[in-house]
Amino acid sequence: MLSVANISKSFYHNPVLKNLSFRVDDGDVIALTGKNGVGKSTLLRILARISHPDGGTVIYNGVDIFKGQASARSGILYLGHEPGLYPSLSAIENIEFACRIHGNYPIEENIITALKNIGLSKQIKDPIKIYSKGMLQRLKYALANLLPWSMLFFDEPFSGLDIEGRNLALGYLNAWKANDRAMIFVTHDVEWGLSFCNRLLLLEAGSFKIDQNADSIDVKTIMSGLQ
Amino acid sequence: MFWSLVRKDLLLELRTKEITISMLAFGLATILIYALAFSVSPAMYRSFAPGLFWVIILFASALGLHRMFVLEKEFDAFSLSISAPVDRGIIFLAKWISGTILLIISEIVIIPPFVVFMGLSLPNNWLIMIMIIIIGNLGIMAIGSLVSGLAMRAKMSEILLPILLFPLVSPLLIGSVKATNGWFQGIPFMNWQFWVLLMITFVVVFALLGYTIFDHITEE
Repeated sequence: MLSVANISKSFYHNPVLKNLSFRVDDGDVIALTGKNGVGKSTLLRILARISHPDGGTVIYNGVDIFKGQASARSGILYLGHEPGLYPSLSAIENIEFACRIHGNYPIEENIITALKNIGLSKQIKDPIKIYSKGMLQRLKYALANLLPWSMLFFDEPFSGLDIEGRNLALGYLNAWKANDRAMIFVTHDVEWGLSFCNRLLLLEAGSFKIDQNADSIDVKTIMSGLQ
Repeated sequence: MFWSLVRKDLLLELRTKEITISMLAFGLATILIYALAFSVSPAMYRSFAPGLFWVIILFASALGLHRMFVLEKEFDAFSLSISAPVDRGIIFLAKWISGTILLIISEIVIIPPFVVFMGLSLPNNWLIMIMIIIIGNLGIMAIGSLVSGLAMRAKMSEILLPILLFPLVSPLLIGSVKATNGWFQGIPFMNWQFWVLLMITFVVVFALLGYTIFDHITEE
């Protein structure tokens, strides 16, 4: 489904990613972890074609995303560390626009229902610049729930969420996992990563120090790698 | 997809009013300064009015373009558009057209006080002038959207934008001033059609260039 080969990226002549290669198949749920500044978010942005690698290829459903047409990336949804939405638009307007550019045209009722389901029934017509970090994070879940993606790249899925928000988010994540959808999460929550995901990638010094099935990894091994 | 992007840009402006207000504030302030600071004869105003008009429009456009792309940087909102399965050439075309619409809206407010304060009497054939203004606006916004896309990732984009924009837009601006002057002085169209053709050439070249390379210049 997604085949990454020899991806490398440097910033100001400092190599961050060095010839990374891996494969993601239908139903794969991957936790991508590592220390701060190791290049996790950069890798996710390359996979979403926001950032361009210095070398290597990313093949999605048989098409190189850097050479093929934009429509070849249909089915990929990127939810970054930042809100990735327009602060001056309302939650409804943001979700509607995001759905439209992903080729979906949801009716307003469905958007309102999706927002209510994630606990955002108030202030849905106010600009989202007044939202807290947790509310913005919930907005991402509402968006992801409205789109028929088959490959999700999610940077810090629980960032800013309170306990209620985290539980709601877990409900969505479990539902998506049950539907056999592929997901890559950048996370520092290793315990959650090992319990929820079926594979873990530990990025260190530009390469994968660990690329294994989650059930064959000991938490202590990962924690020692992160220290 | 194109209209969804244009609609989003116009909706953003409807909510913030940042682009039109910055263009209007600059345009109206400049007109007032020129009208009140210089005591020159109407004939003198008449001779430099076309140049003054297009310089005001260029500087106002630079302000508007900067705001337009700053709105994309807030909350990393631009990543939503460029990570979506949308041809980035379409994103450029949408920015170009929505920028031109906002510039025309600003001009509707700027032009009447410009004419009044400069004490200008205008020729009757308005359609030609409207055509010149629209072509000039399309040209400035085509070059401006391309340059803004290039500058938006830079740390000092507000400085980089005019540095790149003004030299590139100079031939178009010269054409716009010459064509406006031709209309203003009542010179037959045949005598200044070259400048209109130059302007159209600029619009076509930079629209195509933007559509083709916007994909590469917006990547990190």
